[in-house]
Amino acid sequence: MNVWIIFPLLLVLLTMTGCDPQINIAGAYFPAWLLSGLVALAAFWILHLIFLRTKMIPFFVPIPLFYAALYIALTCGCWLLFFAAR
Amino acid sequence: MSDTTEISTPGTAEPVANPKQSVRRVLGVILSLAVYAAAILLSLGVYHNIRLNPRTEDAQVRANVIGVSPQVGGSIIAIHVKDNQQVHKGDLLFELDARPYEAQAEEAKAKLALTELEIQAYKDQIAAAEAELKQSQAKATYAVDYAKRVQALVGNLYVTVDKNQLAQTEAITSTDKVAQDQAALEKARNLLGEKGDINVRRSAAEATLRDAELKLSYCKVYAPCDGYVVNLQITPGAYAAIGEQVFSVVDQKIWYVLANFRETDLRNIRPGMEVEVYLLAESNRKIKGVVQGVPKAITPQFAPTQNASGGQGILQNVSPTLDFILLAQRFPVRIILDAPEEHSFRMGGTAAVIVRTGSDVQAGLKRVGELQKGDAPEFRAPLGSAKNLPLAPAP
Repeated sequence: MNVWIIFPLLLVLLTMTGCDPQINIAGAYFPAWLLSGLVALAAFWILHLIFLRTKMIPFFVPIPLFYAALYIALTCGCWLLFFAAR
Repeated sequence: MSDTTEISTPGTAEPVANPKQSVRRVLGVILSLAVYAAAILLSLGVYHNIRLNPRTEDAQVRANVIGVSPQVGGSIIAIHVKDNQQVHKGDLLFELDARPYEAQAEEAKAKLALTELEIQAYKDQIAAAEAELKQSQAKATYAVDYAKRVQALVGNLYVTVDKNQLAQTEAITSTDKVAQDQAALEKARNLLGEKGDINVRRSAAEATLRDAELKLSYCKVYAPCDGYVVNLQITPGAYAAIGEQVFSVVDQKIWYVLANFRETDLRNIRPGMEVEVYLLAESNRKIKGVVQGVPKAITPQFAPTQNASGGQGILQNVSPTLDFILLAQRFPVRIILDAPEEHSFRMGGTAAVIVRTGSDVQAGLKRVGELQKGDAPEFRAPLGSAKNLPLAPAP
């Protein structure tokens, strides 16, 4: 599964960047929020797989709102963790 | 196990029969509520963090640049620096052909010598005028006394009327001669040009010489500050006109970033606030900076005033608009970079900045003062000297 490789890789990459709001990936500069969104997407996918395996999905109320909130929480959490000014 | 059917219809197939299902139901609700709460709190956290620490990636490194230009015109005979070279204040940058200015200095020196001679001549003239005055005073004294004596003898017919008249005329003439000689002495003194202890003739000649020496000194152009030579694209032989920039020197003492913040962020930004600066050239390296100031004006984008200069009368011409999308204007906030000696800044480099609005403003302002002070006085080139010019020393 690609996710298991990409996610830790991205995390390592992020921790390397410190708090720099511009992240250079192969010559292109990504804003912090975009990278947070991508990392959150990976985490989101992993959580989705966990929910699928534990058969939890039908019990979230309501499912679409839960998933939207989960993605927002992950993105914001990732941004706060890696890019927030402390 | 018929798990797939349970997932598709939760809680309907076997309502409370499976205890696992009820645990999942409770867990589902708890997890949902936790995720909603997390989404709200973390969003607020991000909002709060951005509000407290406004950031922009629209920023550039700047430095003070001095365009080096000669104060006299002339063709360049030697350039002592190379492009991109580091120079120190007072280093010789280039030299202009000094011969015309040497000639001017020589002329001025000759004029000063001539003035000295003239002054001596005027002094001699004064001495002569004084002697002349003494002489005419003595003559006048005698003539007046003689006229008095003759006058007394006229009644007794010891002297003729004619002789008496001659004596009276002589008295008047010699008295007038005294006044004339006094005026001549005064004129000679004025021609000497002495006002108090100062001889203005000499002062004028000395000032002309100083000016000529100054112009001679301007033929050598020195570095105005510590920094780096940039944009040197000229070779000896080129003509350098007065005030025309030959190349530039970037002042290395103070570096700053002009960060274009949206007007909505400016409200929270104050001079003295600490800033984190990240340069594209030195990624992942946090550089400290301090807000020096927030500008009060940029060129207005909308409804430009077209009055005196625009030539459309004195009233503004405002077009009606249908705008409902407003673009926030950006203002260049000046941030002074700390510890410039530890980094290799380049003017024009891209930067991203984060302002820490919660930082100690007083300490920041103090630091700004420290970074900005210590401006040594402007470098004054040594004066050119006409001393070694081939001219006999002044008497």
